[in-house]
Amino acid sequence: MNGRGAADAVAAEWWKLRSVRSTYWVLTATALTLGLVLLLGVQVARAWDGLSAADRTKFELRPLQEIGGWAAGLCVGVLGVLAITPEYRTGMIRTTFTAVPRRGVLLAAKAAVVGTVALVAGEAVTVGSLVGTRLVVGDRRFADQGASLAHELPGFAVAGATPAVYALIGLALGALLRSTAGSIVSLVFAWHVLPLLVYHLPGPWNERVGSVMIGGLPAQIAGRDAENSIYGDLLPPGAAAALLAAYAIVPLGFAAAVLRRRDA
Amino acid sequence: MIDAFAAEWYKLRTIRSTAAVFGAVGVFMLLCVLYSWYVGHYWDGLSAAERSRTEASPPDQLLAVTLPVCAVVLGALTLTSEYATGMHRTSLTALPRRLTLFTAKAGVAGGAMLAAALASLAAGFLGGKAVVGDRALPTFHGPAGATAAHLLWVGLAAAALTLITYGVGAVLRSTAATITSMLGLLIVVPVLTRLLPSPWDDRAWSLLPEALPGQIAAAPGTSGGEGVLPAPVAAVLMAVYVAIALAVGAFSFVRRDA
Repeated sequence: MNGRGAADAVAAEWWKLRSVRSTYWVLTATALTLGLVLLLGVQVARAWDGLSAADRTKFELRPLQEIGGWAAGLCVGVLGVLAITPEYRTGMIRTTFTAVPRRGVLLAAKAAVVGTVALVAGEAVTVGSLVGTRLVVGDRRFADQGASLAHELPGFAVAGATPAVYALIGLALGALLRSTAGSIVSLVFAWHVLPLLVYHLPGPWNERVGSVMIGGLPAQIAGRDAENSIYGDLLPPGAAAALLAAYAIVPLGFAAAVLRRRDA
Repeated sequence: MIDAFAAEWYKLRTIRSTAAVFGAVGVFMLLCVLYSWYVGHYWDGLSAAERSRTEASPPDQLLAVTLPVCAVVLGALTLTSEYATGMHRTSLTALPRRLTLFTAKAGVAGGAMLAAALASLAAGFLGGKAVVGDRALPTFHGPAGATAAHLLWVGLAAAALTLITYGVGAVLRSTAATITSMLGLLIVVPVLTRLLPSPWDDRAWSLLPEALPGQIAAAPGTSGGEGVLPAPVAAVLMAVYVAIALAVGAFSFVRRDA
């Protein structure tokens, strides 16, 4: 197949994504996480006003700023799952394979469309959480908000890419498992349950394995330590960035290989 | 009514997803025992002073964390999988009295989850206790009555979650939507409540389904004290959640077009 065919496959997948209801539900939920973060920001700002000077130095805004991107990861991960499992459920996948017989190209097209939408949504929520909470708290000088916005933005932009990684993992899981329920539960396991279980491993393994969990990679890419988190910080920035890319690519490559070999 | 229960029981035990859910419960039960073995091993290497400071999670902790996820999946698939395939129309043709069908499904799914949860909790706890033997770990050697009450309420909470999810599934009719919103409620909402300023963080968290069993019967030997509700209030709240979800689900199932 030539480049034209791949472009057509991307156009077709974009059309599908745009015309199903679930996409809008998922994106609404993603936007809601940003709204919730901002609402909580208002509440936190009010609470800050009532604190003594000593308590204020211990009060952090950063956990709230990071929560939006974390929740968005689940939302767009479901978007990735729903890019393929409903086609298996309805049997439409056979029509899709007939129209685009090269399965690797098909999966790449789905990945391109879902990944792009997830990247935009993830960045919007993550960067929006940073900028939005800064605006909401106004000139209250939180101890952990001393750095300028320009200084913080690169780190949050990297963190904003992790939801897209979850979306691609969701797509790969959907292609492998072909079941909506199975894929979503596996995704939730990778997104939340596994990091929690790893955190409870005996030392030093909790720190070692915690360093390679997806949620801990943005901080390591930015060179921050893992204080106050369930992750580790043993990787250098370059290795962490490579690992984050591998989390996006390797499951998809595996899914493409299986898809090519397997019956529809 | 008995035929409806029999039919639903037949459905539940013949589909693969049920085996996957209960298989996962069994795996986590075995992991409870493995965890207990590790704790015992760890304990042996501690000095007396360290031992008095150590608070190991009780052996059923792993199940208490993972049972809710299994309960959500079972509760969702009980109804939404029929909507996915269109099989619910056949079910309604065979059993046109919708409330009876709805009740039978709820009874079978809730009952199966309760039985599986209690069996796995009891086996996981007793297995873990046997593995640590006579090492003086307070979370492993609580009074029998308090331990039984704790395990019973963790199991009841799992069954309650199955029923709540089942009611939500009757409204949403979509596997993806039901599982995602319920897991969001279980995982994302608690984190958000923790960000509220004190004392509202504790108050809001105490109302969440996953916080209820610990407030009704905390695990013996833990420092406990999580949550602000008295035990009877938490128990009533759990029943109210189930009643509301089932009522809304039943209304939606009975009144809406198939």
